[in-house]
Amino acid sequence: MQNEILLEMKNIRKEFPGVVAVNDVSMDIRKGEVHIIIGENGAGKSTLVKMMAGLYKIDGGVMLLEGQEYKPANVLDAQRQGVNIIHQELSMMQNRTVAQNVFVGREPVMGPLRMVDNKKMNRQCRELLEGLGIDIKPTTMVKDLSIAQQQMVEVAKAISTENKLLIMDEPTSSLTQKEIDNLFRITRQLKSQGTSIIYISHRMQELMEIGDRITVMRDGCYVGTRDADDIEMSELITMMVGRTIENVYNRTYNEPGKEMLRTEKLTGLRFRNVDIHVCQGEIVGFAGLVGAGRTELVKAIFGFDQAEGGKVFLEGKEINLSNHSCNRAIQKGMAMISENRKTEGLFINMSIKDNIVQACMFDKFPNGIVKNDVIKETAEQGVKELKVATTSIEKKVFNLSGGNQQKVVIAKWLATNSKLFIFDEPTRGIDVGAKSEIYGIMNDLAKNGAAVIMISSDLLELLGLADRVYVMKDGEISGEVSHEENVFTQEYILSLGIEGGKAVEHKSPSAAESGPKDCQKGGNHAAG
Amino acid sequence: MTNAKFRNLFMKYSRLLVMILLVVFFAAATKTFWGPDNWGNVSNIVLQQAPFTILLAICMTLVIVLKGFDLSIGSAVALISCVAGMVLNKTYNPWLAILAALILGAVIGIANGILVAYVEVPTFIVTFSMQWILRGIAMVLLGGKQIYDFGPTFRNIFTSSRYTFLILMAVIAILMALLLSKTVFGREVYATGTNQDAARMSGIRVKRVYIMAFLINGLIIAFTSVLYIANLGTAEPIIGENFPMTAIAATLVGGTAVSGGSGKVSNAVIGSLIMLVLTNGMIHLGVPSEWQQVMIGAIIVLSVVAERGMQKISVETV
Repeated sequence: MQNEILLEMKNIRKEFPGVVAVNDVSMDIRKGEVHIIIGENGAGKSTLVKMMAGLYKIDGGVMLLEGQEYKPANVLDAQRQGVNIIHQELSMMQNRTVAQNVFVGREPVMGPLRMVDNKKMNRQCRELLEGLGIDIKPTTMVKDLSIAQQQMVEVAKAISTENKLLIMDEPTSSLTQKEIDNLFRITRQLKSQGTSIIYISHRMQELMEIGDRITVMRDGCYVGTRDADDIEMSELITMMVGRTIENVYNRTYNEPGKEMLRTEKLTGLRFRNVDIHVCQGEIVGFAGLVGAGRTELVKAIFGFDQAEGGKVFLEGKEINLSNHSCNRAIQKGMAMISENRKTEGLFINMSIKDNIVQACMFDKFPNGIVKNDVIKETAEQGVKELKVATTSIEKKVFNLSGGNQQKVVIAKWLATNSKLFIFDEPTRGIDVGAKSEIYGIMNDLAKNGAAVIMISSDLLELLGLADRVYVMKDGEISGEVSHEENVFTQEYILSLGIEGGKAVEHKSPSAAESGPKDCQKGGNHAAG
Repeated sequence: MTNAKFRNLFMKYSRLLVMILLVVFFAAATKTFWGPDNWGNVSNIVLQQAPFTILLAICMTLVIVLKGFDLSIGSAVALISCVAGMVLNKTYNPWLAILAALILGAVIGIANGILVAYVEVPTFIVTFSMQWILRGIAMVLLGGKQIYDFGPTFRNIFTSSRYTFLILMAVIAILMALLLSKTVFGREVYATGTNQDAARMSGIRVKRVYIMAFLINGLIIAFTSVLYIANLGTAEPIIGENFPMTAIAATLVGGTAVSGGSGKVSNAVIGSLIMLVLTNGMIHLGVPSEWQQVMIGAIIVLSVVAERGMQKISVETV
């Protein structure tokens, strides 16, 4: 039974505007196995399983379910054929009960009017939850559950139907150890009943414990599949990283100047006790997995979110965190290029001109009266400086490509007198040409004495640009690496982000070989 | 002229065109709407009705640009009118009454603003509740009574010239238009209405914007209330029940989108005029009052659909 194939994928391809998310992936899932898919952020794992679950249509290739061509029209169709997914993001109806969520769309009915049989539904739900060892009442409102409990209800919901294949997309990201143990027990139970399980996770220990086989993906491509029993952690990390640095960064390192930003024991939503410092002329990178707390940290520094404790110093002066705001942060010289370009960075329905002047108008018009020629001049200068490809500054920004939109955001901040620039995932969803231009801007900013913070999930980008990289894991700083150190490598940083640096630190010989000079010259080109 | 340019020009003045067509239609279809014999009718619309509808529509526009609604304007007019009327009745001092009205308007506006900005209650709920509260207070103050005796000077200030209402309205409209288009605050209003998160991240003090907007709103309503009792000659707690709906109708018909971030004073003016021409025209045409309501509802839906259609076209051409 172990080697019988349930789902076969042949040359699967998926494109989004401007990006190939999954490129020519062929793999198979066996009956009754726990199959782990790992890879860096943006490697295409989620996209791949979403195609299996009917959330996305495939753009190329075929899928075979038990030998038959499998083309799910939507999620329901996939469920009918026995493929079910538990989402990374929760999709529960908050104002309904647990039982109502679990049985939505297939409530037990009674009588000729087919009224919902609440009693029966709640009883079935209780049996289900008890069988899974989950201690939640069926009549509890979902909004009253913790995130972890909601996650377990999602699991219960998914396995309350007959599944041939159950996909779990990072199910453990918000679970406590006890719940993870419970989830693993359920997983083994399902496996013994012959259900195949696909498991996407960043937590390496989990993989070893629960997985039968492990598939590695990188940049939308299939890298390889290994049996979980005979693979080393270090080999997996090497498979995940794969590439080497391309020479697009052209970073000119400067002698760091005066201290610009320092935090002491800064604590807030999803981050704790963070001590960092950033100097003039430096680009300081932040590595870590999605959800490690990097974005929350910089949003608190910028005053968008409230910090709960600790101190922040800008140019040696303490910032009063109790009445900190974006407005004050900007007045003190901070700029923030948000990771959510369309919802936080831009006014998507407004013109390029109106976007660019939005943050500098307080400075430029201190008496509150707007001068149209100054606005026009500022916008035109920004468009010219950043080479935004557009015919007119009156064009609405939703008509621009991702790269040009990002340039508009950056132009908005260059029009202010900022000294500290925070770039959160500045190159996500942007074509290669615009990427290298943005690298150039960041380098120039540092060269001209600004301090730059850069959050990125692209390790190569961090290695190519940053003076130093802080690594965050589960809301804490798990390490700091300078570009002058031997361990300024993808392998080491990834291991800090995943394992807190314990597992791989001494196991990675390749880390010791590549010296700091490599990062600056960056002679090697991509292998994968 | 290129096709796209023509289209943009057409879209810009489409509502003015609609209004002119309506006037021409009613003038042709009835003998009483337009013409040398009926100037009294026309001047009644322009001098007595338009100033009030337009002022209320301007208040509503400011809030709708911020992606909200203000359902309390009718009750606010009622309460402020009553309080101003009581002050007049006691003191016969028009300036004291105007001052009292403005202070009360500011208090109501700030209360609305604080509830929206700091307590984070949606504008719809805040102003819906405020509607009951304000009218209730007016009822408590006056019971079922009316106030007639405003003293000798008050009404003369506003009614000695028949153009006073129109001129005062024009002054406020121009000030508001300048505020929205030529000041940093105006830009903050549009930015906040378009995208509150992006506005905050650009350094705009969103809470302050809401409070300021509702404060301005309250002051204009206070001023409108004073004009209203000067015109009417009485103050009583039941006035203005249909004001919010009229103002929303005029604002939407004028082309301001409920999705926020767009809409100008000129939209409010033209929307108010369309509504006035339509309601008066239908009376002259002899349309039964039940069908007048059906028509008004249909016109509002039609204009919102047309606005969306035009936005689509403009997306394609830019």
